[in-house]
Amino acid sequence: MLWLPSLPATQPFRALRPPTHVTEMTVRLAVQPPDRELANAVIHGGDEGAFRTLYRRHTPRLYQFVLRFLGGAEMDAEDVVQEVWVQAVRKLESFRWESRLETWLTAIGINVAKDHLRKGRRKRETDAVDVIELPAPARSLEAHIDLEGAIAALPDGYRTVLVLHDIEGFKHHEIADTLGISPGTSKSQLSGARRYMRRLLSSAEEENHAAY
Amino acid sequence: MLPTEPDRLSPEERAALAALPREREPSRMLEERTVEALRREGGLRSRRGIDPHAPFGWVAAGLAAALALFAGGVVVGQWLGTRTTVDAIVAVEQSNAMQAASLVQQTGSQYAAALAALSQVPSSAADSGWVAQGREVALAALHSVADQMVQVAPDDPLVARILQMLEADAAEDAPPGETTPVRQVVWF
Repeated sequence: MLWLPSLPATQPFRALRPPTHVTEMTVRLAVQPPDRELANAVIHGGDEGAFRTLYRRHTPRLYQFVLRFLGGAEMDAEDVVQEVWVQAVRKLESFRWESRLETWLTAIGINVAKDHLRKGRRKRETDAVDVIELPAPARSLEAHIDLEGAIAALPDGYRTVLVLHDIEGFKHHEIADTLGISPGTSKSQLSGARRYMRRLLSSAEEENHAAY
Repeated sequence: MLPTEPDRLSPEERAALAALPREREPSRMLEERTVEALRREGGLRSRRGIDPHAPFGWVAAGLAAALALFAGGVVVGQWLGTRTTVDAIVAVEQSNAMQAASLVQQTGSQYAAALAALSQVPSSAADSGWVAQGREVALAALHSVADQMVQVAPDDPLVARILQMLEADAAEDAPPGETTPVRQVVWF
Protein backbone atom coordinates (compact mmCIF):
# COMPACT_ATOMS: atom_id res chain seq x y z
CA MET A 1 0.00 0.00 0.00
CA LEU A 2 1.34 3.37 -1.04
CA TRP A 3 1.62 5.82 1.80
CA LEU A 4 1.52 9.51 1.04
CA PRO A 5 2.39 12.06 3.66
CA SER A 6 -0.38 14.51 4.29
CA LEU A 7 0.70 18.02 3.60
CA PRO A 8 -1.03 21.24 4.43
CA ALA A 9 -3.13 22.34 1.49
CA THR A 10 -1.26 25.59 1.10
CA GLN A 11 2.21 24.09 0.84
CA PRO A 12 2.41 23.43 -2.92
CA PHE A 13 1.19 26.92 -3.63
CA ARG A 14 3.69 28.48 -1.28
CA ALA A 15 6.47 26.96 -3.34
CA LEU A 16 5.18 28.74 -6.44
CA ARG A 17 5.40 32.16 -4.88
CA PRO A 18 8.39 34.23 -5.91
CA PRO A 19 11.12 34.54 -3.29
CA THR A 20 11.05 37.71 -1.27
CA HIS A 21 13.97 39.28 -3.12
CA VAL A 22 12.08 39.15 -6.44
CA THR A 23 10.74 42.62 -6.99
CA GLU A 24 7.42 43.49 -8.50
CA MET A 25 9.27 44.81 -11.54
CA THR A 26 11.02 41.47 -12.07
CA VAL A 27 7.75 39.58 -11.85
CA ARG A 28 6.12 41.95 -14.28
CA LEU A 29 8.97 41.55 -16.76
CA ALA A 30 8.85 37.78 -16.41
CA VAL A 31 5.22 37.59 -17.49
CA GLN A 32 5.63 39.89 -20.48
CA PRO A 33 5.61 38.11 -23.85
CA PRO A 34 9.06 37.25 -25.18
CA ASP A 35 10.54 39.20 -28.07
CA ARG A 36 9.96 36.44 -30.56
CA GLU A 37 6.25 36.18 -29.81
CA LEU A 38 5.86 39.94 -30.16
CA ALA A 39 7.90 39.97 -33.35
CA ASN A 40 5.67 37.28 -34.86
CA ALA A 41 2.60 39.37 -34.02
CA VAL A 42 4.19 42.30 -35.87
CA ILE A 43 5.23 40.19 -38.87
CA HIS A 44 1.97 38.33 -39.34
CA GLY A 45 -0.61 40.79 -38.09
CA GLY A 46 1.04 44.19 -38.16
CA ASP A 47 0.17 44.32 -34.47
CA GLU A 48 0.83 47.86 -33.27
CA GLY A 49 0.53 46.95 -29.60
CA ALA A 50 3.16 44.24 -29.97
CA PHE A 51 5.43 46.68 -31.76
CA ARG A 52 5.01 49.30 -29.06
CA THR A 53 5.97 46.73 -26.42
CA LEU A 54 9.11 45.82 -28.35
CA TYR A 55 9.88 49.49 -28.91
CA ARG A 56 9.55 50.39 -25.23
CA ARG A 57 11.59 47.39 -24.19
CA HIS A 58 14.58 48.02 -26.45
CA THR A 59 14.62 51.69 -27.39
CA PRO A 60 16.22 53.15 -24.22
CA ARG A 61 19.29 50.94 -24.71
CA LEU A 62 19.40 51.56 -28.46
CA TYR A 63 18.91 55.29 -28.08
CA GLN A 64 21.69 55.67 -25.51
CA PHE A 65 24.06 53.72 -27.74
CA VAL A 66 23.23 55.69 -30.89
CA LEU A 67 23.35 59.00 -29.02
CA ARG A 68 26.84 58.23 -27.73
CA PHE A 69 27.97 56.90 -31.12
CA LEU A 70 26.86 60.15 -32.78
CA GLY A 71 28.46 62.34 -30.13
CA GLY A 72 25.40 63.54 -28.26
CA ALA A 73 23.30 64.92 -31.10
CA GLU A 74 19.81 64.15 -29.80
CA MET A 75 17.79 65.00 -32.90
CA ASP A 76 20.12 62.97 -35.10
CA ALA A 77 20.00 60.09 -32.64
CA GLU A 78 16.21 60.07 -32.74
CA ASP A 79 16.23 60.07 -36.54
CA VAL A 80 18.62 57.14 -36.50
CA VAL A 81 16.59 55.19 -33.93
CA GLN A 82 13.44 55.69 -35.99
CA GLU A 83 15.21 54.45 -39.11
CA VAL A 84 16.56 51.45 -37.17
CA TRP A 85 13.05 50.40 -36.19
CA VAL A 86 11.72 50.91 -39.71
CA GLN A 87 14.52 48.75 -41.12
CA ALA A 88 14.13 46.20 -38.32
CA VAL A 89 10.41 45.71 -38.97
CA ARG A 90 11.13 45.47 -42.69
CA LYS A 91 13.75 42.76 -42.10
CA LEU A 92 12.17 41.11 -39.07
CA GLU A 93 10.92 38.11 -41.02
CA SER A 94 14.47 37.26 -42.09
CA PHE A 95 15.89 37.55 -38.56
CA ARG A 96 16.90 34.02 -37.56
CA TRP A 97 17.00 34.53 -33.79
CA GLU A 98 20.55 33.22 -33.51
CA SER A 99 21.38 36.30 -31.49
CA ARG A 100 19.31 38.41 -29.15
CA LEU A 101 17.01 40.95 -30.76
CA GLU A 102 18.84 43.67 -28.83
CA THR A 103 22.15 42.67 -30.44
CA TRP A 104 20.57 42.67 -33.89
CA LEU A 105 19.09 46.12 -33.31
CA THR A 106 22.49 47.42 -32.22
CA ALA A 107 24.03 46.07 -35.42
CA ILE A 108 21.41 47.84 -37.52
CA GLY A 109 21.96 50.92 -35.36
CA ILE A 110 25.69 50.94 -36.12
CA ASN A 111 25.06 50.75 -39.87
CA VAL A 112 22.42 53.47 -39.87
CA ALA A 113 24.45 55.74 -37.57
CA LYS A 114 27.56 55.16 -39.67
CA ASP A 115 25.68 56.19 -42.81
CA HIS A 116 24.35 59.18 -40.95
CA LEU A 117 27.86 60.31 -40.03
CA ARG A 118 29.12 59.63 -43.54
CA LYS A 119 26.44 61.74 -45.12
CA GLY A 120 27.67 64.61 -43.02
CA ARG A 121 24.27 65.50 -41.65
CA ARG A 122 25.99 66.48 -38.49
CA LYS A 123 28.76 69.09 -38.51
CA ARG A 124 31.83 67.05 -37.76
CA GLU A 125 35.36 67.63 -36.80
CA THR A 126 38.13 66.34 -39.05
CA ASP A 127 38.08 62.58 -39.46
CA ALA A 128 40.51 61.11 -36.94
CA VAL A 129 42.03 58.79 -39.57
CA ASP A 130 43.64 61.83 -41.15
CA VAL A 131 44.75 63.41 -37.90
CA ILE A 132 48.46 63.18 -37.27
CA GLU A 133 49.06 66.04 -34.87
CA LEU A 134 46.21 66.32 -32.42
CA PRO A 135 44.99 69.88 -32.12
CA ALA A 136 44.59 71.22 -28.61
CA PRO A 137 40.90 71.30 -27.70
CA ALA A 138 39.30 74.72 -27.68
CA ARG A 139 39.55 76.26 -24.22
CA SER A 140 35.83 76.86 -23.98
CA LEU A 141 35.36 73.14 -24.45
CA GLU A 142 37.71 72.23 -21.67
CA ALA A 143 35.91 73.77 -18.75
CA HIS A 144 33.59 71.57 -16.72
CA ILE A 145 33.79 68.70 -19.18
CA ASP A 146 32.90 65.23 -17.86
CA LEU A 147 33.60 61.79 -19.27
CA GLU A 148 30.42 61.73 -21.35
CA GLY A 149 31.26 65.19 -22.64
CA ALA A 150 34.79 64.16 -23.49
CA ILE A 151 33.54 61.18 -25.48
CA ALA A 152 31.10 63.39 -27.32
CA ALA A 153 33.88 65.85 -28.14
CA LEU A 154 36.07 63.21 -29.80
CA PRO A 155 36.37 63.26 -33.58
CA ASP A 156 33.92 60.80 -35.16
CA GLY A 157 36.54 58.21 -36.11
CA TYR A 158 37.96 58.13 -32.61
CA ARG A 159 34.61 58.17 -30.87
CA THR A 160 33.02 55.33 -32.82
CA VAL A 161 35.91 52.99 -32.08
CA LEU A 162 36.14 53.99 -28.42
CA VAL A 163 32.40 53.55 -27.89
CA LEU A 164 32.38 50.14 -29.53
CA HIS A 165 35.53 48.87 -27.80
CA ASP A 166 35.66 50.48 -24.38
CA ILE A 167 31.95 50.81 -23.67
CA GLU A 168 30.18 48.15 -25.75
CA GLY A 169 32.93 45.55 -25.44
CA PHE A 170 33.54 44.81 -29.13
CA LYS A 171 36.84 43.19 -30.18
CA HIS A 172 39.09 44.90 -32.72
CA HIS A 173 38.29 42.37 -35.46
CA GLU A 174 34.56 42.87 -34.83
CA ILE A 175 34.97 46.64 -35.03
CA ALA A 176 36.97 46.20 -38.21
CA ASP A 177 34.18 44.12 -39.77
CA THR A 178 31.48 46.47 -38.60
CA LEU A 179 33.09 49.74 -39.63
CA GLY A 180 34.85 48.45 -42.73
CA ILE A 181 38.35 49.25 -41.51
CA SER A 182 41.36 47.06 -40.72
CA PRO A 183 41.98 45.75 -37.19
CA GLY A 184 45.21 47.76 -37.15
CA THR A 185 43.32 50.94 -37.89
CA SER A 186 40.87 50.08 -35.12
CA LYS A 187 43.75 49.72 -32.65
CA SER A 188 45.43 52.95 -33.65
CA GLN A 189 42.11 54.80 -33.57
CA LEU A 190 41.45 53.50 -30.07
CA SER A 191 44.89 54.53 -28.90
CA GLY A 192 44.42 58.01 -30.34
CA ALA A 193 40.93 58.24 -28.88
CA ARG A 194 42.11 57.41 -25.38
CA ARG A 195 44.94 59.94 -25.55
CA TYR A 196 42.62 62.62 -26.87
CA MET A 197 40.04 61.86 -24.21
CA ARG A 198 42.61 62.03 -21.40
CA ARG A 199 43.84 65.32 -22.73
CA LEU A 200 40.34 66.74 -22.69
CA LEU A 201 39.71 65.49 -19.17
CA SER A 202 43.03 66.62 -17.69
CA SER A 203 42.71 70.04 -19.31
CA ALA A 204 39.24 70.37 -17.88
CA GLU A 205 40.49 69.30 -14.46
CA GLU A 206 43.23 71.94 -14.50
CA GLU A 207 40.80 74.55 -15.70
CA ASN A 208 38.34 73.72 -12.96
CA HIS A 209 41.05 73.79 -10.27
CA ALA A 210 42.17 77.18 -11.53
CA ALA A 211 38.60 78.42 -11.42
CA TYR A 212 38.24 77.53 -7.74
CA MET B 1 42.85 59.55 -14.11
CA LEU B 2 46.18 59.09 -15.90
CA PRO B 3 47.11 55.47 -16.62
CA THR B 4 50.54 53.95 -16.22
CA GLU B 5 50.62 52.85 -19.88
CA PRO B 6 49.42 55.37 -22.46
CA ASP B 7 47.45 52.85 -24.55
CA ARG B 8 45.83 50.92 -21.71
CA LEU B 9 42.98 51.95 -19.51
CA SER B 10 43.70 52.44 -15.86
CA PRO B 11 41.36 50.70 -13.38
CA GLU B 12 39.84 54.11 -12.61
CA GLU B 13 39.19 54.77 -16.29
CA ARG B 14 37.76 51.32 -16.75
CA ALA B 15 35.43 51.83 -13.80
CA ALA B 16 34.37 55.26 -15.04
CA LEU B 17 33.53 53.88 -18.48
CA ALA B 18 31.66 50.94 -16.95
CA ALA B 19 29.64 53.33 -14.83
CA LEU B 20 28.32 55.27 -17.82
CA PRO B 21 24.55 54.85 -18.22
CA ARG B 22 23.45 52.19 -20.68
CA GLU B 23 19.90 53.37 -21.15
CA ARG B 24 18.25 56.67 -21.85
CA GLU B 25 14.70 57.56 -22.76
CA PRO B 26 14.24 59.49 -25.99
CA SER B 27 11.46 62.04 -26.31
CA ARG B 28 7.93 60.66 -26.20
CA MET B 29 7.29 61.92 -29.71
CA LEU B 30 9.76 59.45 -31.16
CA GLU B 31 7.51 56.46 -30.48
CA GLU B 32 4.61 58.12 -32.28
CA ARG B 33 6.82 59.22 -35.15
CA THR B 34 8.16 55.70 -35.53
CA VAL B 35 4.73 54.08 -35.39
CA GLU B 36 3.47 56.60 -37.94
CA ALA B 37 6.40 55.86 -40.27
CA LEU B 38 5.72 52.14 -39.98
CA ARG B 39 2.03 52.63 -40.69
CA ARG B 40 2.90 54.57 -43.82
CA GLU B 41 5.19 51.72 -44.88
CA GLY B 42 2.43 49.20 -44.24
CA GLY B 43 4.40 47.46 -41.52
CA LEU B 44 1.74 48.16 -38.90
CA ARG B 45 -2.03 48.24 -38.93
CA SER B 46 -3.65 51.38 -37.56
CA ARG B 47 -5.42 50.97 -34.21
CA ARG B 48 -6.84 54.45 -34.14
CA GLY B 49 -10.43 55.37 -34.84
CA ILE B 50 -9.33 58.46 -36.75
CA ASP B 51 -8.14 57.74 -40.26
CA PRO B 52 -4.57 59.07 -40.56
CA HIS B 53 -5.21 59.78 -44.24
CA ALA B 54 -8.25 61.95 -43.53
CA PRO B 55 -8.56 65.13 -45.61
CA PHE B 56 -6.35 67.93 -44.37
CA GLY B 57 -9.35 70.16 -43.67
CA TRP B 58 -10.68 67.78 -41.07
CA VAL B 59 -7.28 67.34 -39.50
CA ALA B 60 -6.91 71.11 -39.36
CA ALA B 61 -10.39 71.41 -37.85
CA GLY B 62 -9.45 68.81 -35.27
CA LEU B 63 -6.23 70.67 -34.56
CA ALA B 64 -8.04 73.98 -34.13
CA ALA B 65 -10.67 72.41 -31.91
CA ALA B 66 -8.06 70.69 -29.80
CA LEU B 67 -6.20 73.96 -29.37
CA ALA B 68 -9.46 75.50 -28.17
CA LEU B 69 -9.70 72.66 -25.70
CA PHE B 70 -6.08 73.33 -24.77
CA ALA B 71 -6.95 76.93 -23.86
CA GLY B 72 -10.29 76.13 -22.31
CA GLY B 73 -8.99 73.45 -20.02
CA VAL B 74 -7.94 76.05 -17.45
CA VAL B 75 -9.88 75.57 -14.22
CA VAL B 76 -13.20 74.66 -15.85
CA GLY B 77 -12.25 71.02 -15.80
CA GLN B 78 -13.47 71.10 -12.21
CA TRP B 79 -16.79 72.62 -13.17
CA LEU B 80 -17.59 70.33 -15.99
CA GLY B 81 -16.22 67.29 -14.23
CA THR B 82 -13.63 64.84 -15.39
CA ARG B 83 -16.26 62.28 -16.32
CA THR B 84 -17.53 64.47 -19.14
CA THR B 85 -14.06 64.65 -20.63
CA VAL B 86 -13.53 60.93 -20.31
CA ASP B 87 -16.85 60.26 -22.02
CA ALA B 88 -15.98 62.71 -24.75
CA ILE B 89 -12.62 61.08 -25.36
CA VAL B 90 -14.19 57.64 -25.46
CA ALA B 91 -16.73 58.96 -27.92
CA VAL B 92 -13.95 60.46 -30.03
CA GLU B 93 -12.21 57.12 -30.24
CA GLN B 94 -15.40 55.42 -31.34
CA SER B 95 -16.38 57.92 -34.01
CA ASN B 96 -15.20 58.43 -37.51
CA ALA B 97 -13.00 61.37 -38.46
CA MET B 98 -15.84 63.78 -39.18
CA GLN B 99 -17.77 63.03 -36.00
CA ALA B 100 -14.59 63.10 -33.95
CA ALA B 101 -13.51 66.48 -35.27
CA SER B 102 -17.01 67.93 -34.70
CA LEU B 103 -17.14 66.59 -31.18
CA VAL B 104 -13.73 68.03 -30.33
CA GLN B 105 -14.77 71.37 -31.78
CA GLN B 106 -18.03 71.38 -29.82
CA THR B 107 -16.39 70.33 -26.56
CA GLY B 108 -13.56 72.81 -27.02
CA SER B 109 -16.04 75.64 -27.56
CA GLN B 110 -17.87 74.68 -24.37
CA TYR B 111 -14.63 74.71 -22.41
CA ALA B 112 -13.63 78.06 -23.86
CA ALA B 113 -17.04 79.58 -23.04
CA ALA B 114 -16.95 78.25 -19.48
CA LEU B 115 -13.43 79.59 -19.02
CA ALA B 116 -14.50 83.01 -20.24
CA ALA B 117 -17.27 82.99 -17.60
CA LEU B 118 -14.81 81.96 -14.91
CA SER B 119 -12.39 84.73 -15.82
CA GLN B 120 -15.11 87.25 -14.89
CA VAL B 121 -15.26 85.97 -11.30
CA PRO B 122 -13.23 88.31 -9.00
CA SER B 123 -10.40 86.47 -7.23
CA SER B 124 -9.48 86.80 -3.56
CA ALA B 125 -6.95 85.36 -1.11
CA ALA B 126 -9.61 82.96 0.14
CA ASP B 127 -9.77 81.48 -3.35
CA SER B 128 -6.04 80.81 -3.67
CA GLY B 129 -6.46 77.08 -2.98
CA TRP B 130 -8.99 76.85 -5.76
CA VAL B 131 -6.66 78.74 -8.05
CA ALA B 132 -3.84 76.26 -7.33
CA GLN B 133 -6.19 73.38 -8.01
CA GLY B 134 -7.39 75.07 -11.14
CA ARG B 135 -3.85 75.54 -12.35
CA GLU B 136 -3.13 71.87 -11.84
CA VAL B 137 -6.30 70.84 -13.63
CA ALA B 138 -5.40 73.19 -16.44
CA LEU B 139 -1.86 71.90 -16.80
CA ALA B 140 -3.01 68.29 -16.64
CA ALA B 141 -5.59 69.02 -19.32
CA LEU B 142 -3.01 70.79 -21.47
CA HIS B 143 -0.58 67.93 -21.07
CA SER B 144 -3.23 65.37 -21.91
CA VAL B 145 -4.31 67.31 -24.99
CA ALA B 146 -0.71 67.75 -26.12
CA ASP B 147 -0.16 64.01 -25.71
CA GLN B 148 -3.15 63.31 -27.90
CA MET B 149 -2.09 65.95 -30.40
CA VAL B 150 1.24 64.23 -30.86
CA GLN B 151 -0.70 61.17 -31.97
CA VAL B 152 -2.90 63.18 -34.32
CA ALA B 153 -0.02 65.17 -35.81
CA PRO B 154 3.28 63.46 -34.91
CA ASP B 155 5.30 65.56 -37.36
CA ASP B 156 3.92 68.91 -36.26
CA PRO B 157 6.82 70.88 -34.69
CA LEU B 158 4.44 73.23 -32.85
CA VAL B 159 2.77 70.36 -31.03
CA ALA B 160 6.15 68.84 -30.26
CA ARG B 161 7.38 72.11 -28.78
CA ILE B 162 4.25 72.50 -26.68
CA LEU B 163 4.67 69.00 -25.26
CA GLN B 164 8.36 69.59 -24.59
CA MET B 165 7.58 72.82 -22.75
CA LEU B 166 4.92 71.13 -20.65
CA GLU B 167 7.24 68.25 -19.78
CA ALA B 168 10.01 70.66 -18.88
CA ASP B 169 7.57 72.62 -16.72
CA ALA B 170 6.38 69.45 -14.97
CA ALA B 171 9.97 68.42 -14.30
CA GLU B 172 10.72 71.83 -12.79
CA ASP B 173 7.68 71.64 -10.54
CA ALA B 174 8.64 68.22 -9.24
CA PRO B 175 10.26 68.07 -5.80
CA PRO B 176 13.97 67.04 -5.69
CA GLY B 177 14.40 63.36 -6.48
CA GLU B 178 10.86 63.03 -7.81
CA THR B 179 9.68 62.99 -11.42
CA THR B 180 6.14 64.19 -10.80
CA PRO B 181 5.12 67.47 -9.20
CA VAL B 182 3.22 67.69 -5.93
CA ARG B 183 -0.49 67.44 -6.70
CA GLN B 184 -3.27 69.60 -5.34
CA VAL B 185 -6.10 67.61 -6.88
CA VAL B 186 -7.04 63.98 -6.42
CA TRP B 187 -7.69 62.46 -9.86
CA PHE B 188 -10.05 59.56 -10.34
